[in-house]
Amino acid sequence: MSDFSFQLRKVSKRFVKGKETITIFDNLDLDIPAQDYVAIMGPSGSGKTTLLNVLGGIDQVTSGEVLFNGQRVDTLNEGQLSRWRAANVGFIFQFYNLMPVLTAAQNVELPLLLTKLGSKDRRRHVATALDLVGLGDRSKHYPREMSGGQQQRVAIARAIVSDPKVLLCDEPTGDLDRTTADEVLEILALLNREHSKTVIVVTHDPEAANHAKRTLHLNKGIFVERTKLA
Amino acid sequence: MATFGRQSIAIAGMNIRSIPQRLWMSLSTVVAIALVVAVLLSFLAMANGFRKAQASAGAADIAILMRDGASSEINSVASRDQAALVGEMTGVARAGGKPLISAELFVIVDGTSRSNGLRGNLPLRGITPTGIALRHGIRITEGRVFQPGTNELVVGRAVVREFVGFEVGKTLRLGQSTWTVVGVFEDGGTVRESELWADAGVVQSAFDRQNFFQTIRVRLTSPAALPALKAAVAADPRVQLLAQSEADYFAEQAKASGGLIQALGWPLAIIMAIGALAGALNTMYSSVATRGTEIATLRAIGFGGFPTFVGTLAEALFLSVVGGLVGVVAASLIFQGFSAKTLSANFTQVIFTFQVTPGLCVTALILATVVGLIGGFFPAIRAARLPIVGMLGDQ
Amino acid sequence: MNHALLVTKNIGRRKLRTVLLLIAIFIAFLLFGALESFLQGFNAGQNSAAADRLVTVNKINFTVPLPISYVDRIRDLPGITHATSQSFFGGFYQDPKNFLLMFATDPQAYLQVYPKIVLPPEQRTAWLNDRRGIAVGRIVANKNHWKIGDHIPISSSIFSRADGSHSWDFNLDAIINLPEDSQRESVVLMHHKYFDETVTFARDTTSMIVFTTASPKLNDSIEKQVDAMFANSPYETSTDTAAAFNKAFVAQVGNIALIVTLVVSTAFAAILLIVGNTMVMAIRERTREIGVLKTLGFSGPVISAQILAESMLLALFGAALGLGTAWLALAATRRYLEALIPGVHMTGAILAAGLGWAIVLGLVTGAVPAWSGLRLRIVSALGRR
Ligand SMILES: Nc1ncnc2c1ncn2[C@@H]1O[C@H](COP(=O)(O)OP(=O)(O)O)[C@@H](O)[C@H]1O
Ligand SMILES: [Mg+2]
Repeated sequence: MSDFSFQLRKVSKRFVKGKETITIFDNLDLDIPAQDYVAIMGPSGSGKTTLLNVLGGIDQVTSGEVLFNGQRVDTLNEGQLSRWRAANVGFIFQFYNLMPVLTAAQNVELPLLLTKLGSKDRRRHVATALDLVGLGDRSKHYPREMSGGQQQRVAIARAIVSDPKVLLCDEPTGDLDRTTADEVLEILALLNREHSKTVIVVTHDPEAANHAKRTLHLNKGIFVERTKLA
Repeated sequence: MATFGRQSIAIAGMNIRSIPQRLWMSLSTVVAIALVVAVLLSFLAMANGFRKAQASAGAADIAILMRDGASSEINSVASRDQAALVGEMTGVARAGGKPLISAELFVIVDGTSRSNGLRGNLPLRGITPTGIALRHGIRITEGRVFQPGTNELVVGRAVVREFVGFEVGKTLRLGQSTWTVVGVFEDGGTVRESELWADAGVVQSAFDRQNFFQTIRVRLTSPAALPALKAAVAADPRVQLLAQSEADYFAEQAKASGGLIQALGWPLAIIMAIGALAGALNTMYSSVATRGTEIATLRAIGFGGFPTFVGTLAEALFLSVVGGLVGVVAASLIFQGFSAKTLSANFTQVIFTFQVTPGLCVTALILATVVGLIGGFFPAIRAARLPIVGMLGDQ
Repeated sequence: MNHALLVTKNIGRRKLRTVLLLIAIFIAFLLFGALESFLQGFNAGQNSAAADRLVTVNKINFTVPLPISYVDRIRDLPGITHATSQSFFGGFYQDPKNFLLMFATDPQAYLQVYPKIVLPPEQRTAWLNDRRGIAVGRIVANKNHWKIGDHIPISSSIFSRADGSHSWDFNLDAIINLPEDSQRESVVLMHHKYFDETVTFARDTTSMIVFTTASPKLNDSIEKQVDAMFANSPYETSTDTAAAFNKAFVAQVGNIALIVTLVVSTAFAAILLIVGNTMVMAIRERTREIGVLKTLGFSGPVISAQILAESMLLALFGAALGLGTAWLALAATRRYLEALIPGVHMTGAILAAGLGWAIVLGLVTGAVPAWSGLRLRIVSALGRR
């Protein structure tokens, strides 16, 4: 067991496009302690999403090590990564990415299909998760019948339903108005505070950064840390 | 009104030029329609080939006399005495004082099919030089005609093509007699090319049918003389025969199985066309869906709903006509002249070739066009009714 | 919810498209079911013929008669159990177009050669003892609305009577029920004795001799023995198994099997293209969703399995509809069909083959999208908007 959720050791990420090689980050080191709430900011194209993808195991590093709970994850194969993600990571996207053919409850239930839980247990977990995001009464609704804020809350419920340690959020408020954005940020803060989730938020939104314990600025592949004045 | 036309052409042009973006979907529709058209055309060509082989065999100035009640030659019986009586009747043409009459024997012998190695029924006709002369288009392509009084055969071109061992010089045993093929004849692809011919008297004795024939053929002084001959035959109680023109006889024979092939082809083609229609609708609906924004943009800058409808319909028609043409060309290349055989009402093999004609091609293309029209109509309505605002607002 | 629901939800996502695909698949399997059933009817004669039954005909052709005395000579050969004559009568009822598969035969011997025919004892006795009696197959009796005890006038297109007429009067004494052998259910059998007494020619002849052997193993040598016995006589023979004889006869109608194969494979080729392309397109439209599922931890194989299940479900459902409809249509028109082509019906083998093709169709049309689902990289699937 490690006190760290994620650790990056000398991580480099490069894209090769034709003859050109784009280096997103080079020898990057990063420690994210368990139960941290960190906001990552930076100009568009600075590599925030790429970093999140690397942490979530959906993108590969060019070199360096990625550790989770002290264990290497960059060496896992695709099947192992799938299982690891299902157990440990919840993703929240800017555009919610709900399945349009499934109801709110069914969307939330999706990750549980990968567990051994029986249908009764699954339903209980789904209800808990939806209650937590304040949508207990919307379980039968389809995504198209809900507002953006509600859809994002369903997405959060989906991310937490299998009780992962970490939530990776890519611009979670990017498509929302101020009020609904604040509601979503409240929920993330609550999850960090009361449910001990490690929350990593990539954002443009200063308000989102305010909710975090600390903010990292990514620029040209280097972090500049500014701890929140509390 | 004129601007409708211009708008429609503009949109149709854009749609058709954008087909490569939906290449595989469009291609699957084209191929599906091509396959349906090819199936229909092959059945039509088969029915047509069969009908032509029969129908073109009959002449209007030849009368054929058969036993009352017999529907085909094999079921008929006629005697030498009856033949003699018929020869003296009115309406029968004469040459050098002799009536142009041919009493013919029709027996069935086995041949071995080249395609499947199985035994098939071949008609062996006992005939005379006069009888051969009664047939208009006969041409000896190889060898010569049999010598009367000998065990010699001339065989139809189609028999040589479809059955083993009928080349000139080959011999075959029928019962206790051995026969030699001395010639091959051609008759413009008619059913006669499926026959074996030998001297009538020799066939009679070989098959123990002395003095018996199946049918009597006569040349009429003119086609108009048929009623007179019919009346004369009916008036003579010693002649229990029925006269009809050879043309009518073969037309009736053609109906027997030619109709069946055709009756089978159309329902098959229509059922398959419904399947292709489902594919075409699918393709056109997705075409409309992928061009949603483009259509809305055009509408927003002032293009009308009707030109949008016409433009989409034109795309469907384009695909179906291309499919139809591909099907017609493919079927023509594969099936034109394709040789096949079936059982005739005479219980013998009729060998015929598939005949693709321009008329049949047009018929098949019409089917393709109908599929295109229906397959384009409903998606075109959807295209014309697409909401402008929603489509532009999204994404 | 479960994986299956996910699959069905995806199928139901574009209802119109799914319905259109189902129609295309339905049509192909309707054709398959119906045409294969027809083909099976055509081939019924060669399929149902007992392995130990042989047929002897004149070597020239089966329309050329053989002396009736040959029956006894064949029966007396060692290894041959029963033998009967069977002469074409060329019978028709009322209209020459309504022709009958009618034979003159020796009833006692016929029933020995076809032991599967079991007549009710009173019908059997009546027919054996009634010189003008006929035994009639169930299909013919149904078609012409005949029943036991009817007096039926039948004409011959081949033979005539001494008085010049072509019509014979018969008593319907027995009806043959033998569902496994549709040919036997389609025949009309008269006494050869009555035939011999009344016809003006062809007396003491028969068109074919049907006989059974003690064992199918003897068939080859017996065929040769029979033909050798009559070699160089005025009536040489050709002997074959009943199955081979029927096969050669049916082949003369045309290459029905080739036609059926061409039509069915054309229909299958068309749906393969239509369904295959639509599946590729449908999965491409869902690229982003598949990326999300993978992010959630759904592995590549699970995604592929879902896609294959989707194409398989479509294919099987469409095929079930098509085969079911073909079955119903054949059953509904059975009375009419079996009079045309006895033995037309959808066998278990046809059904199984149809379902087999449906599985192939499902696999093939799902293969490409399943492969791309398997290989799909999450980062590119989620892409940027
Ligand atoms: N697959 C790729 N191939 C090439 N370049 C890429 C690819 N993915 C991302 N990039 C580049 O990497 C950089 C970082 O992208 P991203 O992580 O999405 O930035 P951010 O999320 O900070 O806007 C961008 O310049 C982008 O163009
Ligand atoms: Mg980004």
